[in-house]
Amino acid sequence: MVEITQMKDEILRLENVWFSYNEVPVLERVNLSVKKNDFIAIIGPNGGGKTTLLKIILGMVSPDRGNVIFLGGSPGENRKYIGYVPQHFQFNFDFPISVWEVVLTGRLGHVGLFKRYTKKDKQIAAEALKEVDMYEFRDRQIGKLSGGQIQRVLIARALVTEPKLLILDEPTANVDKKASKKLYELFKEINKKIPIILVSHDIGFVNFYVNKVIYLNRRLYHQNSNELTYHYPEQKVVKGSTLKGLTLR
Amino acid sequence: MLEMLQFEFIRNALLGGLLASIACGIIGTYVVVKRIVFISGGISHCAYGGIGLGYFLGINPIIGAVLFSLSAALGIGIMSNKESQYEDTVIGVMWAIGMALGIIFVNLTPGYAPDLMSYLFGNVLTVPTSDIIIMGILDITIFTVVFLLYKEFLALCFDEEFTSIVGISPEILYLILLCLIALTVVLLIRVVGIILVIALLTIPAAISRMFTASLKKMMIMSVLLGVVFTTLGLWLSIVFKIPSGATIILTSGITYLICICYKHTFRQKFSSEHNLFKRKYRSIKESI
Repeated sequence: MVEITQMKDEILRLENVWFSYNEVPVLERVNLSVKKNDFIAIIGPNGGGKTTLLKIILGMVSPDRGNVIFLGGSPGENRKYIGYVPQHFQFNFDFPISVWEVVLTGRLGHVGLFKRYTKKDKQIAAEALKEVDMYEFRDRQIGKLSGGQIQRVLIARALVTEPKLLILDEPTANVDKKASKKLYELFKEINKKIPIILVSHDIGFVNFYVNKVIYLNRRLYHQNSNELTYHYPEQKVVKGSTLKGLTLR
Repeated sequence: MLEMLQFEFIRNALLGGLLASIACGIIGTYVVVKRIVFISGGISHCAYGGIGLGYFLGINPIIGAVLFSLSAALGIGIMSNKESQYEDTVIGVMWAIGMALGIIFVNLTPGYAPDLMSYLFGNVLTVPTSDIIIMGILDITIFTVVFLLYKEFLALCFDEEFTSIVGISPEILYLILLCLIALTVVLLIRVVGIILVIALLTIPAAISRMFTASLKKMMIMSVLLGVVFTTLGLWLSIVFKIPSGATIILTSGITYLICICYKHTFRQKFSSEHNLFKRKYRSIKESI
């Protein structure tokens, strides 16, 4: 039995996580450690368990077996310290809400029930919008933006929660090449402050910007071997060069 | 029109229309943007069971309707949270059970229920002052809750998942919203009746949505439209001596159709930008 303790400057730790959905295994023996300055990309085929893994990290789904420790507690308790940017095409774009209002909803957890947004909340929202370069669009209705712009707004919404970890689900799925590159530049800036986990099946850009690539297809395959893989020798260690072949197969 | 105001029942009818419009403008906006029209239908038909119970026990049927629609809201909310894929089945079942209970209660009540039809199809001209007071109290409750939880409801309707991530329970918020719908339904029963509630709940909000992209403006516009529809419908029903509830609904329904045609004609102008984005999204989706 491995002792459940977090190492110094470790933000998130998954230990031997298993999950199955209607008795179909989705995740097996998943181990992951995220440290302060990590920028991790999780790649893998559709149905490989990427979204499930994110839901487990967010504490929205509990694993059948194994441990998840986020900031020394369960992800359920500390969920509000995770900035989450969902896949954006699940929204109803006609929704009557402005960019400004969307970003402010990120402050909900800080304001408390029944209270109005304070000056400080608005200041934080304005700063986040400036950081993602969308401040001038603050009065636009959310549907009247391009894919890349919507993504930036959702990133701003995640940033105003003052997260200790940023999670992005397919951030470039609906964004053209040029805008994707700009997004990755933005992630790099954000990564100077907090660790980032991003899920993607576009491996083109990923390799240039992230410092760890993990391939997930029911099991995790780490690009660089680390101490966790050592404990579980079944887990294959994949060299960076073969990674591309793996995803395309 | 002005000399009609000297009659108390006309004054009550106009006041009833105004009170109903406030609730249906605010809550109808949520019903439309969150796409829970069918749930609202279930809640309103369930209220019929309460009206029957009211007759049976000899209390004000509106009190019975409040009890039944609130329990329907909670029942549908809790069951659909747990078994999300069966949500529409749950609603359909509750819808029918409520109506069936109402029919049996009315049947068990000795004597004849004279104004039962006015609960089904509405008759704002027969609203007594006591009901106006109940409607006022319901309005104040609805307004206060929405005022206090405005930002939470906005987040809930836009992105439920994110609401739970920032640490606010979307399940509880959703139940509160359904309860507000239940109260609104009760308010509207007197004006347009159980069967036509859905129309007055959704049409003003659906029209305002065509012309504004802000939830607050949508609410204000819906309230104003509600006042116009109830007043105009009432006046037409008196002039032509036809049922008031149905006239109010027809007035709003026809306005809605005209607005759709208008919007359709000017569509290019309104949403060319949005369409461009949609097209781009579609092409990207296909290429994946």
